[in-house]
Amino acid sequence: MSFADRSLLWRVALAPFILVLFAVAWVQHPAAVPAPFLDDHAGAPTLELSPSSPFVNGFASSDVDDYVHAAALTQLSEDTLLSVWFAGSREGAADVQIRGARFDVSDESWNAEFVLATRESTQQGLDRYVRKLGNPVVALAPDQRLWLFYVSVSIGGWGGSAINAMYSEDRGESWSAPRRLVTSPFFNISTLVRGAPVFHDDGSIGLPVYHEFIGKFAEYLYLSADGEVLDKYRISRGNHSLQPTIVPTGPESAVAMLRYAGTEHHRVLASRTEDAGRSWSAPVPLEPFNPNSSLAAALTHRNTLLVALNNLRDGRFRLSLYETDLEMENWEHLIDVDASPDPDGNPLPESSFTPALRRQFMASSSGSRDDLLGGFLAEVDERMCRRAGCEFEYEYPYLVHTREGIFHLVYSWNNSFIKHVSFTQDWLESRH
Amino acid sequence: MSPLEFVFWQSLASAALPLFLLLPGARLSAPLRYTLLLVLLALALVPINGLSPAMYLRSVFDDLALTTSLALLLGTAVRLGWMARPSEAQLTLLLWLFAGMAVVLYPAALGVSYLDPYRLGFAPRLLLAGVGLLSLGLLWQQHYVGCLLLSLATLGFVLQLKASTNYWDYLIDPALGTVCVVVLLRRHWRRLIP
Repeated sequence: MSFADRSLLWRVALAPFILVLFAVAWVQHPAAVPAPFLDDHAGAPTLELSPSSPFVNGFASSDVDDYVHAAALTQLSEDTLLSVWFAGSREGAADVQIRGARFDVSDESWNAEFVLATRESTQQGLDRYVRKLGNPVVALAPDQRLWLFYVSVSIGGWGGSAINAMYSEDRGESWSAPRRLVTSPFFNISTLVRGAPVFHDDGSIGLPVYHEFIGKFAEYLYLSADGEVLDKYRISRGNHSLQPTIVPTGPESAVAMLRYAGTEHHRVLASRTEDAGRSWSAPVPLEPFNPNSSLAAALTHRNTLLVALNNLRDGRFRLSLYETDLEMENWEHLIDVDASPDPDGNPLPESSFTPALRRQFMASSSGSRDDLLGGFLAEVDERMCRRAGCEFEYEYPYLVHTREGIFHLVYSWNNSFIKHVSFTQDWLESRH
Repeated sequence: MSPLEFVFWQSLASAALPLFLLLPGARLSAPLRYTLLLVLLALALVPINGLSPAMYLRSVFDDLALTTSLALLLGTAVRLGWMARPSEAQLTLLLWLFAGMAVVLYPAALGVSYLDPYRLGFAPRLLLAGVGLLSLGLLWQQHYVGCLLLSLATLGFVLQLKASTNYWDYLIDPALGTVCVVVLLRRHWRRLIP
C-alpha cells in the first residue's frame, strides 16, 4: 500500500471518531432557557410578624475598628435574617474579611458578628493567590440552600475581580469551600457582584453582575440551582453603567436599575426584560440623580417599586427611599433614611461634626450598640475627616421585602457600621 | 490541589513548559534536555509562602485553554525529539486560526458591543458545528496537529476537565491569542506599515 493510500485510510478511519465526539458534545450541551421568575411572595402572609414599631433601626455590625462596606441581607427563616458585608483596615486591604451577623426578628436584635471568609481561606479554597476580597451578596434559594457570592482579586485593582461562590446546607452554620465562577474569557477577570440574586421557578439563580475593566457594563449571569454557570446576558455595554439591581415584576418581566458611571447625565439608568432575563432593553436615564453610587430596589405589595438611593448630583451624604410605578415615570419621595445635618453635604469642622455624629449614632444604635460610642468616636478622624472637614456618607443600600411583609434595608453608615432599617407595609401605606 | 486532579497537572505544565521551550535548550544534549525539564517541573512545585509558582501563575493567567496546554506538550515533544516539527505552512495556519478566534472574542466580550461572542460558548452548538467541520477539514488536509488540538480540546469539554462551562475556554485563552497575534504582526508588520 502506498503512503498516499495509508494516509487516506487513516483519515477515513479517524473521521467517524471526530464526528462522534462532536455529536456527543452537541447532545450534551443544549442551550439553557431561563425559567420564569419565581414569585416568592405568592400566598405570603401579611404582617403576621412585624416589628413592634413600624419603622425601626439598629447597627448590624459591632466592630468599631474596621472600615465596613457593601452589606447584603437575606431572610433565613420567619424569625432570622442574615446580613453579610466586608470589613478591614481599609477598602482593598489584605486584611479585609467577609463578615456576617444574624438578626432575631422577634426581639429585634443583632447577634455578634462572625467571619465567613478571609483572604487566606479563599486562597486555600481556590488554590491560587488572593490579594484582596470585596463585595459579598447572600441569598437563600428555594431549595433552602444558602448562597454566598463574593469578589476576590489576585492581581491589580477591582478590574481584576472574579466571583467566588460558597453555599451552606444548614443556613450558615457550615459552608462549602469557595469555588470560582468562570464568567469572562479574558483571564476570567473583571466580573463583580453587588445586587441581590433573583430566583427562577426551577430553582436556577439569576445573579446581577457587572464588569469594571476596559468597559463598565452590566450583565445577568444565569446559574443552575447548583451554581453552575449556564449563560449570561448583557444588560448594558460601553463604559458608563455598573451594579444592576434587578426586580422581577412578573413571570417573564423584570426591571434592572443601574448605577451611572458616565459623565453625561448623572441619573439612574433602567433596563427591562420581558423574557425572564434573556434580553434586555437599552438602558435609559430615569428622573432621580445618581452620583455614581450603588442603589437597591424591591417590589412592594402595591405592585410598585421601592428604591433606596442617593438622589444627589454629587456625594453620598443623604440616603433616601422613593416609591415609583413599574414604568418608573412617577417618583415619590418617602423619607430620607439618613442625611448630613448640612443640606448641601458640605464638609463640617470637627467641632460641629463630632456632636452631630454622636447624635446620629445614638439615634441609630437602638440601644444595643450604645456602649460602642466611645471607641467609635476615637476612629472618626481617620475614616471621615480630611483637610477640608468631615463628611457624612450613607451608601450601598441593599433592600429585601420578606414574605411576612416587612422591608429590610442595610447600608454602609459612614463606612463605620452596617446600619439596618426595617419597616412594615403599614408604614409604607402611612406615607401616602 | 491534589495530583489526582487534572488542574494540578495542567497548572504544572503551564508553569514549566513555556520556560522549557523559551530557554535555548535545542543545543543541549538529550540527557541535559530531560534534566532541564525535570528541574523546571520540580521548581514549579516548590512552595513559596504556601503556594507553588504554578499556583501563582494560575492566579494571574487563570487555567489555560486545553489547546494551549496541548500545544505546549507538542512543543515539548518536538524539543525532546519525540516528533517532527509541523511544517511552516501548518504552523502559520494555526497562528491565523487562534489569532482570529482571539480577535473575534476578546474585544466584544470586554463590552465593546451588545453582541457577546463569549455567549456562544455557553450555548455552544453553533460553535461546536463550526469547530467540528474545521477539525474534519484539517484532518482531510492532513493537518493532524490542528485536528488533534481542536478534537482533544473538545474531548476535554465533553469531560468537563476545566472549571469553566464555556466551550471558548477550552479552545482559546488570552495568552495563546496574544502570542499568535504578536507572531503574525511581527511577520507582516512591514506590509501593514508601509
